[in-house]
Parts: sequence; C-alpha cells; structure tokens
Amino acid sequence: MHRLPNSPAPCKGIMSSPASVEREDVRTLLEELAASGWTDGLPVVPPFRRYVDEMFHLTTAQPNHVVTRLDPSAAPATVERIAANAVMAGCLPQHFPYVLAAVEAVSDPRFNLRSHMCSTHISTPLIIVGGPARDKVGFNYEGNCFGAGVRANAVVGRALNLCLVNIGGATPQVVDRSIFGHPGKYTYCIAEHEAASPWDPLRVDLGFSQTEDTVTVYAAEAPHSIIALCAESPSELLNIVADSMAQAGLTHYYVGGDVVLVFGPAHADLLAATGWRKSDVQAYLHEHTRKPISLLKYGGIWGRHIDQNRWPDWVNLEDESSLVPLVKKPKDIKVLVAGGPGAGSSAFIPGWGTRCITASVRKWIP
Amino acid sequence: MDESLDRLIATWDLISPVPPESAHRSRPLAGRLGSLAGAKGAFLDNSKDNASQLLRDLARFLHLEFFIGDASFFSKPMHTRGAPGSQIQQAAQRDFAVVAIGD
Repeated sequence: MHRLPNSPAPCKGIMSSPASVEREDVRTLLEELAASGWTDGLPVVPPFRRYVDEMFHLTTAQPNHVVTRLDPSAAPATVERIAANAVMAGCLPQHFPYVLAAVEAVSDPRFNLRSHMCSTHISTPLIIVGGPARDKVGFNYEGNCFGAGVRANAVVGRALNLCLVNIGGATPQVVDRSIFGHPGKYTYCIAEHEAASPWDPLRVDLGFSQTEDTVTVYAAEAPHSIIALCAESPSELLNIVADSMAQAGLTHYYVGGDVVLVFGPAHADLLAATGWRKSDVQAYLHEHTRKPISLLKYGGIWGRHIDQNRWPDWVNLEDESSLVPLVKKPKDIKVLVAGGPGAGSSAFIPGWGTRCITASVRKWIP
Repeated sequence: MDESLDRLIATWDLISPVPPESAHRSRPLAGRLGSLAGAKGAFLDNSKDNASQLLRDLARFLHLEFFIGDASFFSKPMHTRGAPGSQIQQAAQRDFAVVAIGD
C-alpha cells in the first residue's frame, strides 16, 4: 500500500527483530500467538520484551504504573501491559502516548465502559485525535480518514481495542454481547482537520486548550454518509443533514448523550462563508431533528420508565404530537471537520448514549 | 494462565498482554445469610422491561420457596448510566440484594 502524504517515514532503529528469532520461526510464533486468544483475529506483532521496552522511549510513564482499572474485568491496566498490547497492534513509540490517553479516557465514569463493553448495541469506542502534534505523529484527518492506509490511525485504534479485550476482559460473544459487533472493533480512529475548520476544535469545546494534544473517545456507531451536492445555503445544507440524523431507531431519542457530526471541508466552507458559528449549527440541528411521541412510542426502548428519562421538561408526554429532540441540548451535538476534498459530503455518527470524553496526550510525554 | 501460554511467554521472551487472574479486582463476597426466611430483599434492574420481569419473577419464586420478607424494586434511571449512589444506599439497607440486566 502506498504511503499517504502525511504518513511519517519509518522510524529507523526501532522495532528491530531480536537476534534469537530465526526467519523460519516467525510463522510458528505468529500461529502460536493466533492460538493464544490474545489477538483480534488478525496477525499481531509479537510482544517481545525488547519491543515493549522500546515503547518507553518517548513517555514519562513507568512500567508498573496503573493507569486505571479497566472495566468490565476491573483488572489493573499497567503501563507495561498496555505497551504489550500497543506492540501487538503495531505501534511505534510515538504512538504510545495516544494509546495511554485513550485508555485513560475510556475509563472516565461518564463513558460507562463497563456497561458499554457488555451491551448488545452496535457501537465501539471511536478515537478522535486533536492538537498540534497530530501531523508529526502522522495521523490522517483528510481523505479516507475513517478508512485504511495510515499507520498512526490504524495502530492507535487497534491498540485500544486489544486493551479492552485483553486487559478489560471484553471478550466477543462472551462478555461483549453486541448483537452485530462493529467493524471498528478492529480499529476506529480519526483526527480532526483543524485547518479546514472555521470553528474551534472539539477539544476546546470540551475544555482543553488550542495548544493541547488530546484524544477524545466516543461510544460510536459506524459513520453514516450525508451527501448534499447542490445545497447553496446553510439552511439548504442543514435541512439535509438534519433529515439524515433524525432516525427514530436511534437510541439517543430515548437516552440522550452526545452525537458526533463530521462536516467534510466543502460543507464546512459553505457554512463558514455565511458566518454560521458552531453554536448556530447546533441550535438549528437540535430544532430540526425532532420526532413526535406518536412515532417514538413504537420504537427504540420506549417502556415503563419513559417518564424517568432525560427529555427536556417542555416535552409533553400526554400529547402524542409533542416533539422530542434527538439529544437533550444543542451542545450535545458535537461538531468537527475532517475528510478530504471533493463534492459535498459529511458524516453523522450516532452513538450509544454516553458522553464524549477527552484526555491529554501531553501528560504522558516528557 | 494455562501452561501453554506460560511456555509461549518463556520461549519467546514475551510480555503478556493479559493480566494474571489474581490481578482482577477481588470483590469480597457479601456476608452470607443463615436463612432467607423473613429477609428483606432489594432487586435492582437496568431499566429495561425484561430485567424487571426477571427480577419480579425471581422475587415471587424466593417468596414462595424460601419465604423471603418484603421485596423492594429499584430501576436505574437509564441503562447507559450507572445507578445513582442514593439508589445503591437504599438497596444496601435491605438484608440482601439481587442485581440483574435484561434487554
């Protein structure tokens, strides 16, 4: 596969093979690792002690430091154990601080990892990378950002998933009871295209500074395409976006939480040209994605506790024509920009109904 | 960890990506009741109807077969969020608690 323009050059002197491994042994070792139950089904880089030690070249973290107890097993996620999983995923030392930050982020109680990892829902953690170091490390935020071809995105997302299974115990079909699973359970990591965004990046909305390097995690379904080639005004565009977001089967109508909307650069340009602030976009979409109770009561998880949910007070449960918003507040629609050049497309990512959580990467770097 | 994995790690000088079983949080078992007869029970569900149905059927069974006392039922406000502390404290006032999820 060709190397994309923002992919870093391979790191010389790192990840050299231990001399003891003969070429003919490699296949045997890969097969033994495949049979170990430690992999995601794809071949892994063997977590040789030497490779794991190399992960500490660019971090202040000590091997025995417990980053968190990782649910659902509540086992201690030591830096060394996380490093072993990062090596298996294919990480280089420069990727490792992002993995540590992602593990820390999913452990925030507001993310509710314990329930999320055991849920029947079709979601998995998405990592959204932001900050000035993203280019140096080589994260892709342009064309095919949700897809394959860039090492940093691939290995950081994969490392988190391996940690969730190997340390957290979220074994598919055993503890992870997802009915369908999710292709992002192999890897699911993008970066923000901050230069193409007319607004503050997501980390600033979530309380971090412009100069901070961060990861944000989100319990995410797959990205859903929104094509609007002919829209010439913000309202024409946002009416299409709103209609694409408003699906009665989404869990958000019933449990709230955050949703993520990724504008492609062309759509972001259209909104920027007319001076729409992010808060204007959020308010418009909050207003135009509502569904009537008469429909919602046949879908989702309508049930005996519907009067205890977190709908705004102005929703009248006695009136079936009363409109329910997709999420409770406009700011619960998290907006960012990513993707490559091309005709107007954006992506909507519904989720499981919890919050986006951001964590610092810098704290793990000397 | 089974012997084959121990051998794999030793042979290739690997760092295990999996914590030892002993590293998993050991949650001490609650004190065992000598008898359920007359004991007050707390039943906490995850706010989904099947969980509620399961727990109510279980409480009925325990009442008929083991003569438990009062049964108190609790539901988390939302399945995507943890039970609030006040709810857990109320449940802790009973002699025993049963927690279940349903879908």
